[in-house]
Amino acid sequence: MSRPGFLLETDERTPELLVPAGPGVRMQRMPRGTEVLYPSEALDRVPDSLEAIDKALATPLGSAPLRTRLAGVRRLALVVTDSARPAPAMAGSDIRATVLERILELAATARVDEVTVLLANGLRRKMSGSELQQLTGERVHRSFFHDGKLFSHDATQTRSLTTLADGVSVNEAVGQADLVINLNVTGELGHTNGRQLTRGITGQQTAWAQLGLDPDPATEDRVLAEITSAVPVFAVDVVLSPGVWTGPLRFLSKREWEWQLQDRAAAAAVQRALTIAPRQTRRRLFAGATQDYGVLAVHAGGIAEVTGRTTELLSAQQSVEVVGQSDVLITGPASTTEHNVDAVMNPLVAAWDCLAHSFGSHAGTPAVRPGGVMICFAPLAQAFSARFDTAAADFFAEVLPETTDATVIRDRFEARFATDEWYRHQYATQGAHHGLHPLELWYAIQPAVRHCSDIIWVGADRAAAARLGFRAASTLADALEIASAQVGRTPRIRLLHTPPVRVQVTEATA
Amino acid sequence: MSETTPVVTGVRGGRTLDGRMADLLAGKKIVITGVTGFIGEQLLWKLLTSLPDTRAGVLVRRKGSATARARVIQLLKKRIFKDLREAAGGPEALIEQRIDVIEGDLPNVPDLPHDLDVLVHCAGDVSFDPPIDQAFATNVIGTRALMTKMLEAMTVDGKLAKIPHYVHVSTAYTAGRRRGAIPEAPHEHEADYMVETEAALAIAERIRTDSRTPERLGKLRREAERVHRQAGYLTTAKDIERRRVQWVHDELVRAGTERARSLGWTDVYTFAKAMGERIVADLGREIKVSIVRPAIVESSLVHPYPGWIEGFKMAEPIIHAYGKGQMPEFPASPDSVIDIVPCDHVVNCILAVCATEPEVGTPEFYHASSGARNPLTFRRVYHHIRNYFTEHPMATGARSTPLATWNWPGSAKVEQLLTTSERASKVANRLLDFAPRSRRTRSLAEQVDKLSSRTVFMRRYLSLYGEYLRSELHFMDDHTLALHRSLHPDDVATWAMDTAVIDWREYIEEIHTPSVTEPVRRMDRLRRRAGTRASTFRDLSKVKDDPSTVIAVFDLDGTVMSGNVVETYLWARLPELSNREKLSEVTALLGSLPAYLRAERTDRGTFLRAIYRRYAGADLAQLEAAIDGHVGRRILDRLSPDAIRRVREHRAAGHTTILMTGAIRPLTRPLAPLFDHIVAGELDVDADGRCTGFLTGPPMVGESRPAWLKRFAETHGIDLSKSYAYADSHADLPMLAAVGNPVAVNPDLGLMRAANSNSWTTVEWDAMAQTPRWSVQS
Repeated sequence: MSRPGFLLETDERTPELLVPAGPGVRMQRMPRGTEVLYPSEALDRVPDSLEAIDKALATPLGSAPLRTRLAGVRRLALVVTDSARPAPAMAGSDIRATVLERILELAATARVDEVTVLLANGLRRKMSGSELQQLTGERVHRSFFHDGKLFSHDATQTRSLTTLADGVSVNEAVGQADLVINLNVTGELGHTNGRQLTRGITGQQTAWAQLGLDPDPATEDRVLAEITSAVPVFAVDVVLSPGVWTGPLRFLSKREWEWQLQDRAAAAAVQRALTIAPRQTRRRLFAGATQDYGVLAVHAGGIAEVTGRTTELLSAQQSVEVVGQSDVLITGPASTTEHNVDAVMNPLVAAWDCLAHSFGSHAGTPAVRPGGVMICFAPLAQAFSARFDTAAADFFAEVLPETTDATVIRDRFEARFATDEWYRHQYATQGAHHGLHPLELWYAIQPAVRHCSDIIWVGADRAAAARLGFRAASTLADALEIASAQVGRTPRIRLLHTPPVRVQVTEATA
Repeated sequence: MSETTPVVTGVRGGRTLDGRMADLLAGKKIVITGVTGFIGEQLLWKLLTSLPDTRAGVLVRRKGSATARARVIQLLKKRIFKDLREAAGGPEALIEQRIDVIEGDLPNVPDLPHDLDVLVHCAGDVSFDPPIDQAFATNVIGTRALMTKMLEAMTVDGKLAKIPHYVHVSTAYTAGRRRGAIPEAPHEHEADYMVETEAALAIAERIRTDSRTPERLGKLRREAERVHRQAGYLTTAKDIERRRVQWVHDELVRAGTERARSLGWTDVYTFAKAMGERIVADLGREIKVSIVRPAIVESSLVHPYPGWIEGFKMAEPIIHAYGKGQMPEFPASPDSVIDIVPCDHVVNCILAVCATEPEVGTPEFYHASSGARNPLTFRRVYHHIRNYFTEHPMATGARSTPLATWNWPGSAKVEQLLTTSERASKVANRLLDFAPRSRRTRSLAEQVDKLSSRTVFMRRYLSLYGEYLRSELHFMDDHTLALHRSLHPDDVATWAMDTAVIDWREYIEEIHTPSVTEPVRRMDRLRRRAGTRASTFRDLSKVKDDPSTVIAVFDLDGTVMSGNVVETYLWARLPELSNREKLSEVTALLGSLPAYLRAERTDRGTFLRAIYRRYAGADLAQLEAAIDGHVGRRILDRLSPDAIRRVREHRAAGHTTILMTGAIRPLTRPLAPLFDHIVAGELDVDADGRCTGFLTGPPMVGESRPAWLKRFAETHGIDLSKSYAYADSHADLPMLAAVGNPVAVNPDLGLMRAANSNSWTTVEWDAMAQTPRWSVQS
């Protein structure tokens, strides 16, 4: 039985606590009375994932068994939504390879004529050859890749898009299929099966309508409705437990007061290494490490039913209940996020992880009060992957010095990033993020920027923080000093320990 | 021997005045040489201002397209002539009313006016270390030609129709290495000016011939190659010629100095001046002759205004270096006298001498100096200058530097310090040659360069003036004093020349030092206001040039991409080999690496060819496929975002973008969409599509690049002077030099130095590679 998530209120005996800080960690003593949100330990895994897969496919939710659904299907589009790929990477073989093989066996038995396997990456970067092989497994890769039946979706390639309705276009392989199976691996509450599909497999305009500045939530529903009315969709969700660090970084997944001697030694060694190692080595210490993910459940069937069950399970896994909102919320980006797999964490991604991902992970009420302050731990190094982040580097160098106002950016710059030929070329042929990707990140942090009166980065490159429109401080004490102008000398402080944590705020009882 | 003039000693001699200056010189015509110089300019000003009834003649040489008249007009537009100019109604009118402009040169002197009464010769070298032939050409041959022409102008029917007064401006230091009191009289010496002049011209000729001997040229070539070999033959050739000219100059100076010292003078300047005095005495036997010998002429005490000075004289470099905290110690003797005389005293003395009537055939000597009656020691100068800079530092705040305290350790100690610094600079430079290229190395190199430029400055200064810093002679100025005392009481204020009245504290702290530091302060202010110097890295959105005539050319390795041909070779080649082959390939490559590195230091073309030989046997199609796959990603991974942004800015501005590289063409495939033209090495393939290990043409390196660019510009209507180039290494120098806006990107030391000396902008473009450079993908 796993131990549930809980709230620790620090006192004088509380040791220094781990604070995530992007590619690195910090040990930080928290002010007394800080509420530290620990998520639940991983829930119980399914004892045999193969059995769970077979069971889910045989007895789906709100649908006939997949074997039955496949009968008479001539064209099958097997979509693997990619952006929820667990980051850091999964240790061992990818669970998706197993699911794909099971589904393809069923398809073979049902004598499906034509199977296409698509990686639905939307406007995110496409996978490289070796990443693709790792995901699909050697056998699937061998059978499909060289026939051109296993490929990444290209949202900009209008020739290979089918328009389903006004403003809704999808990859033609999906548009022409008799059945679409959407395989979604998720450990995140927001990454639901339907959403991954509507953003991942659609054309640039359709996807961007859901990602731009303050999108209408109805758009996503409309797109999904158009897709499901055009082609039947069979959803498969593999729900993962939170990743657990293995190897020398194991201590990161343990609670600080339970550290053994070797954990302390490892923590000290890592801290030391981070201060003296050169940039690349420092990054590889974390980027090269993998996490162990357990399968909590496999859900299959109708999109709505699958999404409902997955959300229920992940809520139980991630929710921590707190009373009322705090004045200050402290967090830091994870070592690797879905936006910088195999790449250095650029300042935009760091901002996204703290201000969109962590801030937005709540059940309706943010953990920090309106007008409160967020304090984030991250170096905000001005480094960009020349291969993946070419648009983000330009956005940071050319747009942000002119304005950080999202509305102005939308009006003045969005069209340029949407249509730029070099970005398009890099996205289509070299696996870069789409030109709109930096704008997606920037728009996503806007709710937090509007909600908070101040956002302060501890240990950050000052120029980078200023460029982003935020403040920088050397230490937590300094950050709290700056924050005191907004929240006073004795603020109520909350720390998100090892996100994702879903904050469930309940009203204080009198 | 031409020792003909009687030796005059003691206080006898000298002439005095008996009337107002303006009256004594009224109706006379004074012809002056050297009015475009420091003393000459004030001389002309004084004549025009204070001698209203005297006419000036000026002998001025043509300079380039500017005629003598144009140069005089230019001169009269200077600030000190403002009142005169306005009173006359413009510079042209002033010339009409007061000045005869005579266009001519020394020693090719034109005909001089028959009606001249006085000829003041104050043209001469300003440099203390002119080449030996130049020193004699100016001071001996030039003076002889001038006097001969003057005598010609005065001669009618083989007889002197009029006896002119020839006033020769020499220098007090013609005394050479003598010590003690120097009288206002001819110096005793045995040197024969004709013999010396002929010898000087002969040795100059020999040095010029020597500079072209194969031994000499070979030596210079080896020196030039050590620095410029990578950049190519033409660049090296240019440098060899520059070195030859420099060598000739240095040898001529050395010849002069050695000859002067062998006869008891400190340098060729004073030696030739002394010879000049002798020729004046010889040729002036039938006319009136006076010789004025100023000591170290510095800024004016009173006229035209306190502190008036033109250009830098002997003391200024030291004053500036001291004010900027760059002069830690000084090898002068603290009790040595520095004989400074304000320029207006010298000018007054010269014109007053013009008004005297010396006996025909007996030259009169006048010292314009201060050492005998109002001596100023180096210690006092130091004290006053230090006071001045303490009150008025050259820079305040973060830029300020502490002022040195001089302990007068003596010249041997300073010499030792200097030698140590020179050696340190040399060693540091050798070490930096082998340091990896980085921002740190560059900043270290800049510090070393700064230090060695200071050392070079000190060394040069000391070799020039070293002797003057320890001189133990003083110039008697009884004749000048007598002249001063004979001034009409109403003339004293205007024509004073008694240096005993100078309050050195006031002169140095309030007049001279403020005056000479002002232009430097003004420059510093301007520079600070402008931010940095003009940039060759221009804001493209503000450039107005027709974009269709502009190209932007980029180098690949080290500029757009961080990487080198050895790395890219391994990325491209290894995946197709078996593990065993990989191992042997890497081992073989490592084994040849020292040879490759040696090759790269000498000739990049050879180096590239050697590397490309290793491609022999590779399948070109496979190679290209590999590059479109994982090698391409590695290349992209190493691109500098700044470089890409710059390329795209050029494209957005409508410029033609060109990638020019010694790398092989397949490697440029991922960059193809960014460039209009890609110039790269083409791998030669056999019938089966396998690489032969050779290129189809020579690799595009060094001087091939500007040649290609010039050809491209001609055929496409491109204006290279408005074009841009970006490169990182010394080998790219010819390419950068071919365009109007060259930019050094993360330069190696050779290019950094070239960029600094040419005022090219240097930028740092970082590539944020995600994988360690030598990791090899299987």
